[in-house]
Amino acid sequence: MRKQFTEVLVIGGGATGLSAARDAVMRGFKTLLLEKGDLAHGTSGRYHGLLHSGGRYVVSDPHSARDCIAENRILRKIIPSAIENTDGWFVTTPEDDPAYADTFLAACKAQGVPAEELNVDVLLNKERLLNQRISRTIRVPDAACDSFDATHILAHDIKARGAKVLLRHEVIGLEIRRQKVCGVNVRNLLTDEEFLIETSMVLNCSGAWAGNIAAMAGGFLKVTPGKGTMIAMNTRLVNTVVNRCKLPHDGDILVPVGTVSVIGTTDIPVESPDQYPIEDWEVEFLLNEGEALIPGFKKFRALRAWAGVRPLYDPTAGGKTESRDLTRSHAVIDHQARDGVGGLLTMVGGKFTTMRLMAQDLVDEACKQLRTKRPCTTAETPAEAPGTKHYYLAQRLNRWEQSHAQHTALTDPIICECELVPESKVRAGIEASQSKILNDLRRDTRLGMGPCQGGFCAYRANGIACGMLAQTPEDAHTTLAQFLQERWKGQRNLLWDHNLRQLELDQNIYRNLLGLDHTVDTADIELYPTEKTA
Amino acid sequence: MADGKLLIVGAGLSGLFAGILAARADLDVTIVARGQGNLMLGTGTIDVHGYQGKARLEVPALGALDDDHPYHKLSDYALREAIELLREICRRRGNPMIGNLEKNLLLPTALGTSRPTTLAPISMVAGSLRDESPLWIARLNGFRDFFPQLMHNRLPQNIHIVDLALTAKEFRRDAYTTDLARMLDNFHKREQITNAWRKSILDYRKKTGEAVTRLGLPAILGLENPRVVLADVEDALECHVFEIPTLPPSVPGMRLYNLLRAEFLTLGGQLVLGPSVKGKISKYQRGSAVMKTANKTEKAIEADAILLASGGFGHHGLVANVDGSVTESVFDLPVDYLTDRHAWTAESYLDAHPYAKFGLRTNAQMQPINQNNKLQADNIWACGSILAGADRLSEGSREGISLSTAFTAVENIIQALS
Ligand SMILES: Cc1cc2nc3c(=O)[nH]c(=O)nc-3n(C[C@H](O)[C@H](O)[C@H](O)COP(=O)(O)OP(=O)(O)OC[C@H]3O[C@@H](n4cnc5c(N)ncnc54)[C@H](O)[C@@H]3O)c2cc1C
Repeated sequence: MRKQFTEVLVIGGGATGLSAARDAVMRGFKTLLLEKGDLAHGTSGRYHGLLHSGGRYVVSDPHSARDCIAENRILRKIIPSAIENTDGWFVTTPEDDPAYADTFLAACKAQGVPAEELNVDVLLNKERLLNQRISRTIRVPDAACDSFDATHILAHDIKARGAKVLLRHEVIGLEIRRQKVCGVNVRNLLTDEEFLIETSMVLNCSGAWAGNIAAMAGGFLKVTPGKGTMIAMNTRLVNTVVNRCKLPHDGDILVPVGTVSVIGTTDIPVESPDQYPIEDWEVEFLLNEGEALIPGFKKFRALRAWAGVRPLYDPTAGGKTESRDLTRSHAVIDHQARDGVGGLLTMVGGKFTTMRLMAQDLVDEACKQLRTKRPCTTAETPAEAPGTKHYYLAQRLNRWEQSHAQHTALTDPIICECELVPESKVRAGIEASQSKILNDLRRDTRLGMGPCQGGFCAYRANGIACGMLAQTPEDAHTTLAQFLQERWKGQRNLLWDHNLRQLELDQNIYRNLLGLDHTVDTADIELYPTEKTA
Repeated sequence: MADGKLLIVGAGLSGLFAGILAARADLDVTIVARGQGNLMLGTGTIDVHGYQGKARLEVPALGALDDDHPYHKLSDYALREAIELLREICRRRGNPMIGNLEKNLLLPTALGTSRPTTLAPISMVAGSLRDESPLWIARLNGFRDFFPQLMHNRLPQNIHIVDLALTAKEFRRDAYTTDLARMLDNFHKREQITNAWRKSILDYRKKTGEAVTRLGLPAILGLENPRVVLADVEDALECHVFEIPTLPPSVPGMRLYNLLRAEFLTLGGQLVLGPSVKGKISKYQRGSAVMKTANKTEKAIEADAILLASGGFGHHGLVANVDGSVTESVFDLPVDYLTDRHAWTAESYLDAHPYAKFGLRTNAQMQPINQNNKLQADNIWACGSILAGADRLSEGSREGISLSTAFTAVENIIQALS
């Protein structure tokens, strides 16, 4: 068995784990991160996309609100290119109590969340599709944040700082000696090879799966997975984040993300973070809620539905609770104090927006246990090159046009027309990941995420990858089928109008023109073990 | 001979073919269509019946299909005559189709699987997989819509890849199949291109010692005069050359479209592309229709008979609604479909999906009926992909159904009008 050593070992390649690894490596620890899937494979890659201003929580959870506004300001500086500065608005629709807006404004003031009520015409003139009967509009500094971009930036930064990131590596057990975790047993999911990594400190950032890791240390940690379903609408119905001005509820936020806008979410406690099918009533519910914000919402094309699981920690484990009532704030669990096993800290709860703060709290505690004093510098140090600007919508088009002007376009064709992904990006993505899983390329480049849902680009990317990775045709065909199957999961609940038409076109390509169904055995399209969620 | 006005909705294979048949019978035919139909997206071959389950069929086995399959509504000569007529038109118009109903051709796909079909354009037949000799496949370096590396080596034939030179001057790298086809249509560009290719082939021969006997290219061999392009390329490369259909737009499909359209217009038919057609059925069971143009004006269309060749879900003939219902888009005719949306599709993307069989139910005269077999209108007929009961992708039967049901529908229309 191969042996390795690292000072700090982080479990989980989501927002929290990457932030923790960044924090640890910046404090000078030899750091290694393990992720069983791809970057942002868990909840982080399935979230709503909102960089909270804190507005949502000012009334119900003031502590979270203060954390959010502080971190909102920091993330804009450290991962600017993952963030689109869209602003956000809280709006009172005819279905909402107009008096809540006053409570809301007062609470924003108390928690230091900048909020300004403006004449409704200011917003309604800009956002023509919004319900014209909206009666109050309050502006807050919400923003949109692409989690694939954010996690790729963080991973790039921590690798540049000397930390190791191992993807498709699953933690399958903890080595415990004298009541202390001294290593983790790892399985490489692509090769099935198993080995041990020794370490002084394990940071469990496995989100909704945190209970599994705690159990490996003999502890019982109740993390209730709360499923949230979202629907991406085909276009940017709004260019700013729109929240309903009322106590936080389901289906009350619309976020513009890249070329689409996302309505969400639902919130349903589920048994397992690996199995949570989307139900038709959720789709119907979200589309109906959309109608309150945008009359005629249902007539727009719903592109794709997906769900993520909130890792909600239940300190009162046992009694049954509605999952939204559980605390939203994060907590560091010290398994020494709790279960009598040292060398293991678990992060529970939290939000995407507060990932950096969570990491800071976690690594502070780790330092304490390792009896060393090292200050946190993550808030002051950007993860990207100085001068990097915020993302803006026309960015890809602009880049493409510039390259056209310089004639580089002649040698760099667009592979995914919907998301404007050129061949050079596809090649760079495959080169960097060496991954045969086309879905990884999607998270990296947004390939296949537009209206055609992979119809054209899947074959092209498959052809390029097959050449670069020297795949056998059999292997490549399986890769292709897996990618299409993964995209299929998000489409099946939305098969009406355009989507069924698109399905016919794509089926014609893969089942008629290419005959993919005659080269792979459909019973064999096992998704990779970690691709099975939802 | 009959006399009267026929409106056909849809300009896909079934609409155009029906238009030709009706115009030959001296009907006054107008085709109105929003777009150009499935030919643009397909292989350009005529598939009659290629698969039973996953098994490839040597010969179409129509008897094995379900009782309510459209093929079972036809007279025993409809399919044969339709195929013969199409073959005659294609030959006369310079783009011969090869094959017959007695034995399916087997041709390679761009993933290297073997695809059964009844008729294929002459530019494809040298790729026949009934011939066991090896295949050489051209890689047009930088062309993003064809990757011969993905072609299977499980085929009995050995597959070799040959790189053909492309220079930036000749090709924009984000070109589609149609861009390349237009270039090959141009005599001077064709000469440049084939010269460069010839050099590549000679280099290949020198390097490997292999004599290339037949060479597969993506289907790009010209839109206008494919026989000339094919002959020129074969002359230059000194081997047989064959086309392999790849991502849309489909060059072979467009050739077929252009040829049928020309035939229809020559016969005096009228083609209106763009407007959508809206119709209603009176209480005396007569259908009437209007065209809606982009500027929202409506124009009544005079017609004694109306033929719906408006396609399935892919082309807006059928529309699935957000509430889980399915409607026929012109007359709101009753559609056969499953009310439980979960049952529409299979878990696996690549499996047969039940929704494929949704569509209009008709009687043996190809006239729409409801679930109680009641005729919906005396002057409406239907043909092609809008018909219920067939899973065209899984069966490999799309074009066969389109041609034969168009044939039968027009036969009945003529009879009704005379
Ligand atoms: C529907 C929904 C909407 C949301 N919207 C927002 C929002 O708009 N704004 C916001 O700020 N927050 C939002 N959140 C919250 C936010 O998404 C999460 O708090 C955050 O993404 C959690 O990140 P994480 O890294 O802790 O967990 P994850 O992203 O789930 O990361 C955990 C990782 O651990 C890996 N892992 C698990 N077990 C193992 C193992 N044994 N070995 C190796 N790796 C393992 C998993 O594969 C996973 O990638 C939303 C959450 C949900 C569910």
